[in-house]
Amino acid sequence: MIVEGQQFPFVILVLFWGLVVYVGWTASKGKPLQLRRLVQIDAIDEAVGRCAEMGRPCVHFPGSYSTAQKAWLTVALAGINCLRHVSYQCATAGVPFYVGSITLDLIPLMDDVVRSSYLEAGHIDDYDSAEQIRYIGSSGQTSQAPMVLRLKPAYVSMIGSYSSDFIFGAEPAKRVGAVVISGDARMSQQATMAVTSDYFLCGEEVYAASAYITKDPLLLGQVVGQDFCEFIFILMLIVGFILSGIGFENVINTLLSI
Amino acid sequence: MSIYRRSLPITITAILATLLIVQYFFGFGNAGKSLVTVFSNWNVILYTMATALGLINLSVIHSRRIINKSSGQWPYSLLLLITMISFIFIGLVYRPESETYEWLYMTTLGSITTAVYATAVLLMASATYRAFRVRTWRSWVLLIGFLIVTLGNSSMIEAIFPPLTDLQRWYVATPNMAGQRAILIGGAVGAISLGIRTIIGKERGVIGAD
Repeated sequence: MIVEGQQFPFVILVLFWGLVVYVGWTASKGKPLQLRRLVQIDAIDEAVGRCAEMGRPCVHFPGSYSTAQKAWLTVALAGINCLRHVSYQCATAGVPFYVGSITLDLIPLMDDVVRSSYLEAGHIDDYDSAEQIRYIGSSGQTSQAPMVLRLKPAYVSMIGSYSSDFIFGAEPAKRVGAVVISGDARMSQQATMAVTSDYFLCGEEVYAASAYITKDPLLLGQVVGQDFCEFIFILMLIVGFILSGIGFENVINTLLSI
Repeated sequence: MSIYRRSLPITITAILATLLIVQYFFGFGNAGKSLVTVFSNWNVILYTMATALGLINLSVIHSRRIINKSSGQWPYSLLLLITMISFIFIGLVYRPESETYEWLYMTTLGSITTAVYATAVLLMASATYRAFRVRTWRSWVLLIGFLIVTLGNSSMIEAIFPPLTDLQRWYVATPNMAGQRAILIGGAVGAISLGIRTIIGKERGVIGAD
Protein backbone atom coordinates (compact mmCIF):
# COMPACT_ATOMS: atom_id res chain seq x y z
CA MET A 1 0.00 0.00 0.00
CA ILE A 2 2.70 2.48 1.06
CA VAL A 3 5.30 3.21 -1.62
CA GLU A 4 8.37 0.99 -1.24
CA GLY A 5 11.10 2.63 0.80
CA GLN A 6 8.69 5.09 2.43
CA GLN A 7 7.29 2.91 5.26
CA PHE A 8 9.84 3.99 7.86
CA PRO A 9 9.60 7.74 7.05
CA PHE A 10 5.79 7.41 7.14
CA VAL A 11 5.86 5.82 10.61
CA ILE A 12 8.26 8.52 11.84
CA LEU A 13 6.07 11.30 10.40
CA VAL A 14 2.88 9.92 11.97
CA LEU A 15 4.68 9.33 15.29
CA PHE A 16 6.04 12.87 15.38
CA TRP A 17 2.78 14.49 14.35
CA GLY A 18 0.98 12.45 16.99
CA LEU A 19 3.48 13.47 19.65
CA VAL A 20 3.36 17.15 18.71
CA VAL A 21 -0.45 17.21 18.69
CA TYR A 22 -0.72 15.22 21.95
CA VAL A 23 1.70 17.42 23.93
CA GLY A 24 -0.01 20.52 22.51
CA TRP A 25 -3.40 19.16 23.52
CA THR A 26 -2.30 18.32 27.10
CA ALA A 27 -0.78 21.81 27.41
CA SER A 28 -4.03 23.42 26.28
CA LYS A 29 -5.79 21.47 29.05
CA GLY A 30 -3.67 23.29 31.62
CA LYS A 31 -0.67 21.03 32.08
CA PRO A 32 2.30 23.25 33.09
CA LEU A 33 5.07 23.55 30.48
CA GLN A 34 8.80 23.86 30.82
CA LEU A 35 9.72 25.78 27.71
CA ARG A 36 13.18 27.06 26.84
CA ARG A 37 13.33 30.83 26.57
CA LEU A 38 13.99 32.33 23.14
CA VAL A 39 15.92 35.50 23.99
CA GLN A 40 15.97 36.40 20.30
CA ILE A 41 12.21 36.93 20.31
CA ASP A 42 12.35 38.95 23.53
CA ALA A 43 15.06 41.06 21.84
CA ILE A 44 12.63 42.02 19.05
CA ASP A 45 10.60 44.14 21.49
CA GLU A 46 13.77 45.81 22.77
CA ALA A 47 14.98 46.51 19.21
CA VAL A 48 11.65 48.11 18.27
CA GLY A 49 11.86 50.20 21.46
CA ARG A 50 15.34 51.28 20.37
CA CYS A 51 13.91 52.42 17.00
CA ALA A 52 11.27 54.48 18.83
CA GLU A 53 13.87 56.10 21.12
CA MET A 54 16.24 56.93 18.26
CA GLY A 55 13.46 58.05 15.90
CA ARG A 56 14.69 55.69 13.22
CA PRO A 57 12.79 53.08 11.18
CA CYS A 58 12.78 49.29 11.22
CA VAL A 59 13.49 47.27 8.07
CA HIS A 60 12.57 43.64 7.45
CA PHE A 61 14.02 41.44 4.69
CA PRO A 62 12.12 38.17 4.12
CA GLY A 63 15.00 36.29 2.48
CA SER A 64 15.81 35.00 -0.96
CA TYR A 65 13.58 31.96 -1.30
CA SER A 66 9.84 31.69 -1.62
CA THR A 67 7.06 29.51 -2.96
CA ALA A 68 9.02 28.82 -6.15
CA GLN A 69 11.54 26.87 -4.08
CA LYS A 70 9.12 24.49 -2.40
CA ALA A 71 11.73 22.95 -0.11
CA TRP A 72 12.31 26.28 1.64
CA LEU A 73 8.73 27.49 1.67
CA THR A 74 8.34 26.42 5.29
CA VAL A 75 11.23 28.68 6.33
CA ALA A 76 9.78 31.58 4.34
CA LEU A 77 6.40 31.08 6.05
CA ALA A 78 8.02 30.84 9.49
CA GLY A 79 9.79 34.12 8.68
CA ILE A 80 6.45 35.71 7.78
CA ASN A 81 5.06 34.63 11.15
CA CYS A 82 7.91 36.62 12.74
CA LEU A 83 7.22 39.51 10.35
CA ARG A 84 3.72 39.68 11.77
CA HIS A 85 5.11 40.17 15.28
CA VAL A 86 7.74 42.71 14.22
CA SER A 87 5.26 44.78 12.20
CA TYR A 88 2.71 44.71 15.05
CA GLN A 89 5.31 45.95 17.53
CA CYS A 90 6.35 48.72 15.12
CA ALA A 91 2.75 49.74 14.45
CA THR A 92 2.03 49.90 18.18
CA ALA A 93 5.16 51.93 18.95
CA GLY A 94 4.68 54.24 15.96
CA VAL A 95 7.97 53.16 14.39
CA PRO A 96 8.14 53.49 10.57
CA PHE A 97 8.30 49.96 9.20
CA TYR A 98 9.55 48.84 5.79
CA VAL A 99 9.83 45.49 4.05
CA GLY A 100 12.34 45.03 1.23
CA SER A 101 11.44 41.94 -0.76
CA ILE A 102 13.35 40.30 -3.58
CA THR A 103 10.68 37.60 -3.86
CA LEU A 104 7.67 38.70 -5.86
CA ASP A 105 5.24 36.01 -4.83
CA LEU A 106 5.54 36.78 -1.12
CA ILE A 107 4.60 40.45 -1.57
CA PRO A 108 0.77 39.99 -1.51
CA LEU A 109 1.10 37.74 1.54
CA MET A 110 3.38 40.16 3.39
CA ASP A 111 1.19 43.09 2.43
CA ASP A 112 -1.80 41.37 4.01
CA VAL A 113 0.13 40.34 7.11
CA VAL A 114 1.53 43.84 7.73
CA ARG A 115 -1.85 45.44 7.00
CA SER A 116 -3.40 43.08 9.58
CA SER A 117 -0.78 44.10 12.15
CA TYR A 118 -1.53 47.80 11.63
CA LEU A 119 -5.23 47.03 11.83
CA GLU A 120 -4.85 45.11 15.09
CA ALA A 121 -2.65 47.87 16.50
CA GLY A 122 -5.33 50.43 15.65
CA HIS A 123 -3.07 52.39 13.29
CA ILE A 124 -4.33 51.32 9.88
CA ASP A 125 -4.30 54.97 8.71
CA ASP A 126 -0.50 54.97 9.06
CA TYR A 127 -0.11 52.05 6.67
CA ASP A 128 1.00 52.79 3.12
CA SER A 129 1.24 49.52 1.24
CA ALA A 130 3.17 50.73 -1.82
CA GLU A 131 5.72 52.67 0.23
CA GLN A 132 6.23 50.14 3.01
CA ILE A 133 6.19 46.82 1.16
CA ARG A 134 8.80 47.32 -1.52
CA TYR A 135 9.92 45.05 -4.31
CA ILE A 136 13.63 45.83 -4.45
CA GLY A 137 14.68 43.75 -7.45
CA SER A 138 15.58 40.15 -7.99
CA SER A 139 19.06 40.30 -6.45
CA GLY A 140 19.56 40.85 -2.75
CA GLN A 141 23.25 41.44 -3.42
CA THR A 142 22.55 44.76 -5.07
CA SER A 143 19.32 45.92 -3.51
CA GLN A 144 19.41 45.30 0.25
CA ALA A 145 22.42 47.49 1.00
CA PRO A 146 21.08 50.68 -0.68
CA MET A 147 17.79 50.33 1.19
CA VAL A 148 19.56 50.02 4.54
CA LEU A 149 22.02 52.83 3.84
CA ARG A 150 19.24 55.17 2.67
CA LEU A 151 16.72 54.51 5.46
CA LYS A 152 19.32 54.16 8.27
CA PRO A 153 17.18 51.85 10.42
CA ALA A 154 17.89 51.18 14.09
CA TYR A 155 16.73 47.58 13.71
CA VAL A 156 17.08 45.22 10.75
CA SER A 157 15.08 42.00 10.90
CA MET A 158 16.34 39.25 8.59
CA ILE A 159 14.33 36.15 9.37
CA GLY A 160 13.66 33.89 6.40
CA SER A 161 15.40 31.66 3.94
CA TYR A 162 18.67 33.19 2.75
CA SER A 163 21.37 32.55 0.21
CA SER A 164 24.71 34.35 -0.03
CA ASP A 165 22.97 37.72 -0.18
CA PHE A 166 22.42 37.75 3.59
CA ILE A 167 25.71 39.53 4.22
CA PHE A 168 24.69 42.35 1.84
CA GLY A 169 21.91 43.30 4.22
CA ALA A 170 23.63 42.53 7.53
CA GLU A 171 26.90 44.37 6.91
CA PRO A 172 25.32 47.73 5.92
CA ALA A 173 23.05 47.31 8.95
CA LYS A 174 26.12 47.14 11.20
CA ARG A 175 27.56 50.14 9.35
CA VAL A 176 24.53 52.31 10.19
CA GLY A 177 24.53 51.01 13.79
CA ALA A 178 21.39 48.89 13.54
CA VAL A 179 20.55 45.89 15.69
CA VAL A 180 20.37 42.79 13.50
CA ILE A 181 18.08 39.90 14.47
CA SER A 182 18.25 37.11 11.92
CA GLY A 183 17.17 33.50 11.51
CA ASP A 184 17.23 30.66 9.01
CA ALA A 185 16.64 26.93 9.29
CA ARG A 186 18.94 26.22 6.35
CA MET A 187 22.60 25.43 6.77
CA SER A 188 24.27 27.73 4.28
CA GLN A 189 24.08 31.04 6.16
CA GLN A 190 24.22 29.86 9.78
CA ALA A 191 27.87 30.84 10.27
CA THR A 192 27.44 34.25 8.64
CA MET A 193 24.38 34.91 10.78
CA ALA A 194 26.23 33.87 13.92
CA VAL A 195 29.05 36.36 13.34
CA THR A 196 27.13 39.31 11.94
CA SER A 197 23.89 39.33 13.96
CA ASP A 198 23.24 40.58 17.46
CA TYR A 199 20.73 37.74 17.89
CA PHE A 200 19.94 34.89 15.54
CA LEU A 201 17.42 32.09 15.46
CA CYS A 202 19.41 28.95 14.78
CA GLY A 203 17.86 26.07 12.85
CA GLU A 204 14.52 24.90 14.20
CA GLU A 205 14.21 27.95 16.49
CA VAL A 206 12.82 29.76 13.44
CA TYR A 207 9.87 27.36 13.45
CA ALA A 208 9.45 27.52 17.22
CA ALA A 209 9.50 31.33 17.16
CA SER A 210 6.00 31.75 15.76
CA ALA A 211 4.52 29.57 18.52
CA TYR A 212 6.63 31.35 21.15
CA ILE A 213 5.33 34.73 19.93
CA THR A 214 1.65 33.79 20.24
CA LYS A 215 1.98 32.51 23.86
CA ASP A 216 -0.91 30.17 22.98
CA PRO A 217 -0.65 27.12 25.32
CA LEU A 218 -1.59 24.75 22.48
CA LEU A 219 1.16 26.06 20.20
CA LEU A 220 3.70 26.28 23.02
CA GLY A 221 2.86 22.69 23.88
CA GLN A 222 3.58 21.76 20.29
CA VAL A 223 7.03 23.34 20.60
CA VAL A 224 7.65 21.12 23.63
CA GLY A 225 6.40 18.17 21.51
CA GLN A 226 8.91 19.24 18.84
CA ASP A 227 11.67 19.07 21.47
CA PHE A 228 10.53 15.54 22.42
CA CYS A 229 10.84 14.56 18.75
CA GLU A 230 14.39 15.89 18.69
CA PHE A 231 15.12 13.86 21.81
CA ILE A 232 13.85 10.73 20.01
CA PHE A 233 16.14 11.55 17.09
CA ILE A 234 19.12 11.85 19.44
CA LEU A 235 18.25 8.44 20.94
CA MET A 236 17.99 6.96 17.43
CA LEU A 237 21.40 8.40 16.59
CA ILE A 238 22.95 6.90 19.72
CA VAL A 239 21.35 3.50 19.05
CA GLY A 240 22.50 3.67 15.42
CA PHE A 241 26.00 4.62 16.54
CA ILE A 242 26.16 1.64 18.95
CA LEU A 243 24.65 -0.81 16.41
CA SER A 244 27.09 0.17 13.68
CA GLY A 245 29.96 0.08 16.21
CA ILE A 246 29.25 -3.52 17.19
CA GLY A 247 28.79 -4.70 13.61
CA PHE A 248 24.99 -4.56 13.16
CA GLU A 249 25.02 -2.07 10.30
CA ASN A 250 22.68 -4.33 8.32
CA VAL A 251 19.92 -3.72 10.93
CA ILE A 252 20.14 0.03 10.26
CA ASN A 253 20.25 -0.46 6.50
CA THR A 254 17.21 -2.76 6.59
CA LEU A 255 15.29 -0.25 8.71
CA LEU A 256 16.12 2.59 6.37
CA SER A 257 15.21 0.65 3.23
CA ILE A 258 11.67 -0.32 4.28
CA MET B 1 -15.69 38.00 5.99
CA SER B 2 -14.13 35.58 8.39
CA ILE B 3 -15.05 32.64 6.17
CA TYR B 4 -13.23 34.11 3.16
CA ARG B 5 -10.22 35.39 5.06
CA ARG B 6 -9.68 32.64 7.62
CA SER B 7 -11.72 29.47 7.32
CA LEU B 8 -11.51 29.12 3.53
CA PRO B 9 -7.69 29.58 3.21
CA ILE B 10 -7.10 27.27 6.18
CA THR B 11 -9.45 24.61 4.74
CA ILE B 12 -7.88 24.80 1.25
CA THR B 13 -4.37 24.58 2.79
CA ALA B 14 -5.34 21.61 4.96
CA ILE B 15 -7.00 19.69 2.10
CA LEU B 16 -4.21 20.30 -0.43
CA ALA B 17 -1.41 19.59 2.05
CA THR B 18 -3.07 16.34 3.17
CA LEU B 19 -3.66 15.27 -0.44
CA LEU B 20 -0.02 15.86 -1.40
CA ILE B 21 1.32 14.07 1.69
CA VAL B 22 -0.98 11.07 1.10
CA GLN B 23 0.06 10.99 -2.57
CA TYR B 24 3.75 11.11 -1.60
CA PHE B 25 3.47 8.07 0.68
CA PHE B 26 0.79 6.05 -1.12
CA GLY B 27 1.53 6.94 -4.75
CA PHE B 28 -1.86 6.17 -6.36
CA GLY B 29 -0.17 5.51 -9.74
CA ASN B 30 -0.81 7.83 -12.68
CA ALA B 31 -3.73 9.56 -10.94
CA GLY B 32 -1.40 10.61 -8.14
CA LYS B 33 1.24 11.86 -10.58
CA SER B 34 -1.40 13.87 -12.46
CA LEU B 35 -2.48 15.45 -9.19
CA VAL B 36 1.08 16.55 -8.42
CA THR B 37 1.48 17.92 -11.97
CA VAL B 38 -1.73 19.95 -11.64
CA PHE B 39 -0.59 21.51 -8.36
CA SER B 40 2.92 22.18 -9.72
CA ASN B 41 1.35 23.99 -12.70
CA TRP B 42 -0.81 26.03 -10.33
CA ASN B 43 2.31 26.99 -8.43
CA VAL B 44 3.90 28.28 -11.64
CA ILE B 45 0.71 30.17 -12.58
CA LEU B 46 0.46 31.83 -9.16
CA TYR B 47 4.15 32.75 -9.24
CA THR B 48 3.72 34.34 -12.68
CA MET B 49 0.70 36.31 -11.47
CA ALA B 50 2.80 37.57 -8.56
CA THR B 51 5.26 39.00 -11.13
CA ALA B 52 2.47 41.28 -12.33
CA LEU B 53 1.89 42.40 -8.74
CA GLY B 54 5.60 43.24 -8.44
CA LEU B 55 5.30 45.30 -11.62
CA ILE B 56 2.36 47.24 -10.18
CA ASN B 57 4.18 47.75 -6.87
CA LEU B 58 7.26 49.14 -8.64
CA SER B 59 5.19 51.39 -10.92
CA VAL B 60 3.22 52.89 -8.01
CA ILE B 61 6.29 53.58 -5.83
CA HIS B 62 8.41 55.12 -8.56
CA SER B 63 5.58 57.09 -10.23
CA ARG B 64 4.87 58.63 -6.85
CA ARG B 65 8.53 59.59 -6.43
CA ILE B 66 8.61 61.24 -9.85
CA ILE B 67 5.37 63.14 -9.19
CA ASN B 68 6.60 64.33 -5.78
CA LYS B 69 10.11 65.00 -7.18
CA SER B 70 11.64 63.11 -4.22
CA SER B 71 15.04 64.62 -3.51
CA GLY B 72 17.89 62.63 -5.08
CA GLN B 73 15.61 59.74 -6.05
CA TRP B 74 13.27 60.80 -8.84
CA PRO B 75 15.83 60.69 -11.71
CA TYR B 76 16.61 57.07 -10.84
CA SER B 77 12.90 56.28 -10.60
CA LEU B 78 12.38 57.82 -14.03
CA LEU B 79 15.24 55.78 -15.47
CA LEU B 80 13.80 52.62 -13.90
CA LEU B 81 10.33 53.22 -15.35
CA ILE B 82 11.71 54.03 -18.82
CA THR B 83 13.86 50.86 -18.77
CA MET B 84 11.00 48.73 -17.50
CA ILE B 85 8.52 49.99 -20.11
CA SER B 86 11.12 49.68 -22.91
CA PHE B 87 11.84 46.06 -22.03
CA ILE B 88 8.13 45.20 -21.85
CA PHE B 89 7.42 46.97 -25.16
CA ILE B 90 10.35 45.40 -27.04
CA GLY B 91 9.59 41.98 -25.52
CA LEU B 92 5.96 42.17 -26.65
CA VAL B 93 6.80 43.42 -30.16
CA TYR B 94 9.90 41.34 -30.98
CA ARG B 95 9.37 38.42 -28.52
CA PRO B 96 11.89 37.69 -25.70
CA GLU B 97 13.70 35.03 -27.79
CA SER B 98 14.47 37.48 -30.63
CA GLU B 99 17.99 38.72 -31.37
CA THR B 100 16.98 42.34 -30.72
CA TYR B 101 15.70 41.59 -27.24
CA GLU B 102 18.66 39.35 -26.46
CA TRP B 103 21.11 42.05 -27.64
CA LEU B 104 19.38 44.66 -25.49
CA TYR B 105 19.36 42.37 -22.48
CA MET B 106 22.99 41.27 -22.80
CA THR B 107 24.38 44.74 -23.43
CA THR B 108 22.55 46.36 -20.52
CA LEU B 109 21.32 44.10 -17.73
CA GLY B 110 23.66 41.22 -18.61
CA SER B 111 26.78 43.42 -18.44
CA ILE B 112 25.66 45.18 -15.26
CA THR B 113 24.82 41.89 -13.53
CA THR B 114 28.18 40.38 -14.49
CA ALA B 115 30.02 43.43 -13.15
CA VAL B 116 28.02 43.41 -9.89
CA TYR B 117 28.60 39.71 -9.29
CA ALA B 118 32.32 40.13 -10.00
CA THR B 119 32.62 42.84 -7.34
CA ALA B 120 30.24 41.01 -5.01
CA VAL B 121 32.83 38.30 -4.32
CA LEU B 122 35.31 40.85 -2.97
CA LEU B 123 32.58 42.77 -1.19
CA MET B 124 31.35 39.57 0.48
CA ALA B 125 34.81 38.82 1.88
CA SER B 126 35.41 42.36 3.10
CA ALA B 127 31.85 42.72 4.45
CA THR B 128 32.19 39.52 6.47
CA TYR B 129 35.49 40.83 7.86
CA ARG B 130 33.93 44.18 8.83
CA ALA B 131 30.80 42.65 10.35
CA PHE B 132 32.56 39.87 12.28
CA ARG B 133 32.77 40.70 15.98
CA VAL B 134 34.99 38.38 18.06
CA ARG B 135 33.48 39.00 21.47
CA THR B 136 33.04 35.57 23.03
CA TRP B 137 34.94 32.30 23.16
CA ARG B 138 32.40 30.87 20.70
CA SER B 139 33.37 33.55 18.20
CA TRP B 140 37.00 32.53 18.66
CA VAL B 141 36.11 28.90 17.88
CA LEU B 142 34.37 30.06 14.71
CA LEU B 143 37.28 32.30 13.73
CA ILE B 144 39.80 29.48 14.24
CA GLY B 145 37.60 27.14 12.19
CA PHE B 146 37.35 29.78 9.47
CA LEU B 147 41.14 30.18 9.39
CA ILE B 148 41.73 26.41 9.23
CA VAL B 149 39.29 25.97 6.33
CA THR B 150 40.40 29.06 4.39
CA LEU B 151 44.14 28.53 4.78
CA GLY B 152 43.81 24.75 4.33
CA ASN B 153 42.15 25.34 0.95
CA SER B 154 45.00 27.52 -0.20
CA SER B 155 47.45 25.73 -2.56
CA MET B 156 50.31 27.86 -1.22
CA ILE B 157 49.72 26.66 2.36
CA GLU B 158 49.38 23.09 1.09
CA ALA B 159 52.88 23.37 -0.42
CA ILE B 160 54.44 25.03 2.65
CA PHE B 161 52.64 23.23 5.47
CA PRO B 162 50.74 20.07 4.29
CA PRO B 163 49.40 19.05 7.75
CA LEU B 164 47.10 22.09 7.73
CA THR B 165 45.38 20.75 4.61
CA ASP B 166 44.83 17.38 6.35
CA LEU B 167 43.47 19.23 9.38
CA GLN B 168 41.14 21.21 7.10
CA ARG B 169 39.80 18.00 5.50
CA TRP B 170 39.19 16.44 8.92
CA TYR B 171 37.57 19.65 10.21
CA VAL B 172 35.14 19.81 7.27
CA ALA B 173 34.35 16.08 7.26
CA THR B 174 33.97 15.51 11.01
CA PRO B 175 33.04 18.35 13.43
CA ASN B 176 31.56 20.51 10.66
CA MET B 177 29.48 17.64 9.25
CA ALA B 178 28.24 16.69 12.73
CA GLY B 179 27.09 20.26 13.36
CA GLN B 180 25.46 20.50 9.95
CA ARG B 181 23.50 17.30 10.48
CA ALA B 182 22.35 18.41 13.92
CA ILE B 183 20.96 21.65 12.45
CA LEU B 184 19.41 19.77 9.51
CA ILE B 185 17.66 17.28 11.79
CA GLY B 186 16.45 20.07 14.07
CA GLY B 187 15.21 22.01 11.05
CA ALA B 188 13.38 18.97 9.69
CA VAL B 189 11.62 18.34 13.03
CA GLY B 190 10.69 22.04 13.18
CA ALA B 191 9.25 21.87 9.66
CA ILE B 192 7.20 18.77 10.60
CA SER B 193 5.82 20.62 13.62
CA LEU B 194 5.03 23.75 11.56
CA GLY B 195 3.39 21.50 8.95
CA ILE B 196 0.96 19.94 11.39
CA ARG B 197 0.21 23.34 12.98
CA THR B 198 -0.65 24.68 9.50
CA ILE B 199 -2.74 21.66 8.51
CA ILE B 200 -4.85 21.78 11.67
CA GLY B 201 -5.27 25.54 11.24
CA LYS B 202 -3.45 26.64 14.37
CA GLU B 203 -0.62 28.44 12.61
CA ARG B 204 -2.36 31.63 11.58
CA GLY B 205 0.54 34.02 11.33
CA VAL B 206 0.46 33.93 7.54
CA ILE B 207 -3.29 34.48 7.38
CA GLY B 208 -4.38 38.10 7.42
CA ALA B 209 -6.83 39.72 9.80
CA ASP B 210 -10.59 39.11 9.69
